[in-house]
Amino acid sequence: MTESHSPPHHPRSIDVRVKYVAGKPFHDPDAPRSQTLQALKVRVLTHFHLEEMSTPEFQKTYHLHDHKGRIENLAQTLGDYAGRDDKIELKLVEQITQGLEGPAPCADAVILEEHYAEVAASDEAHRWKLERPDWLEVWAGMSPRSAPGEVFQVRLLWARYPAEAPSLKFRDSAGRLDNPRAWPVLPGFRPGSLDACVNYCAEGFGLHPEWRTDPRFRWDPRGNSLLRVLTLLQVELDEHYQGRFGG
Amino acid sequence: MRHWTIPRQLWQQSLEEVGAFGREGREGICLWLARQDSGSNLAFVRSAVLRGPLIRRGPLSIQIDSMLIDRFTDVVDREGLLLAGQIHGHPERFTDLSDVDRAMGFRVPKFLSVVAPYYGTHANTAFRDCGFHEFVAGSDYRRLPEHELALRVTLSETPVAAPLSV
Repeated sequence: MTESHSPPHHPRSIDVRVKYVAGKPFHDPDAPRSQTLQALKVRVLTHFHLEEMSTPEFQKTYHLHDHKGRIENLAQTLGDYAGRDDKIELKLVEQITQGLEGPAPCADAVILEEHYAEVAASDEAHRWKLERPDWLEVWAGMSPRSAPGEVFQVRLLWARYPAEAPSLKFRDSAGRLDNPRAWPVLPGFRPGSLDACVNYCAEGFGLHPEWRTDPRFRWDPRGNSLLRVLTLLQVELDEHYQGRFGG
Repeated sequence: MRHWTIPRQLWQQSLEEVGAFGREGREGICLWLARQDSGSNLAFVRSAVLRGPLIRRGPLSIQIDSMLIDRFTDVVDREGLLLAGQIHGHPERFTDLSDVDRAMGFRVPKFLSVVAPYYGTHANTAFRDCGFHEFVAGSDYRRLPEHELALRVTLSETPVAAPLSV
């Protein structure tokens, strides 16, 4: 008796299931093995009533994933992809962005975001009312230990974080930055000029350019710069506060 | 026309989640799940929260990486659920969807996208304080006017489990 060797038999179709998080799964128990993954993706998008979109501002795309992640080669047929298997299970996946703005505009914003979260979770933060109205801007309501009822809202705005010191101003209750009465009286602070002559703000380095290269005074970008500036300011308020500027 | 039912407990869970990040000056998001065999009228049965480095929350933006959506898809499917709505926070009183929300959010027909004011930090925030938006097939998101909100969205006392955490 002779043994015959026949090529492995593959059925002409394949059982395909594709999950999408916001829809009932796509299921075709009889998808042609000759169909490409790209063609399958088109059918799946139709099944879920989804459309890819490309405009100058936005790109909305969907990707097929398997257990290893994104499938890059959509030109392959279902048969080639499945090999000896007679069923495949995939996912349709997208990236989601929500909010008033798109992704962070720069790496600096991402670093500040991390530092802001650290500050918000720190022990020191219980004395501050923190807000972050923009990617490189932080507001903090602060009070001197000797006058807990007096709240000063400092506005820190970075051009580059953490490479440079922030602009330091105080906001009044209407959000204005040009009101000297929003400022505390502290050594080196000049409410009349709306600036502070200290080595942890951009205005200070503007007044004293020589500080930029002086090892005793230059800006140190290491560590959590946001926490350092807020802490220095809080120490000033606690130890040297002389009242609210009266004009 | 779809009618949505939102359990009070799920609404509270959602505000807790969104408000927790709102208090840090960041947008938070909570996802709402329904059963896969839901009919045209849909009851949310569970909330879900996303954790880890694949979700980034900024003051004006939330980015959810596709690998986290991948993982979330498996968890939701295993539970026999599907994602049918979400709530996220905006600063101040702005409760419309932004251009980013519209273009880069979930764009599946009848998906409900809700925006909570003040980053969701007010625990007593009611439906009428928020912006409710339905994705219309072949079109875009449409905000439900007040009278429609009252007709199509109902608060229920149905208990729900703790949020799914992915």
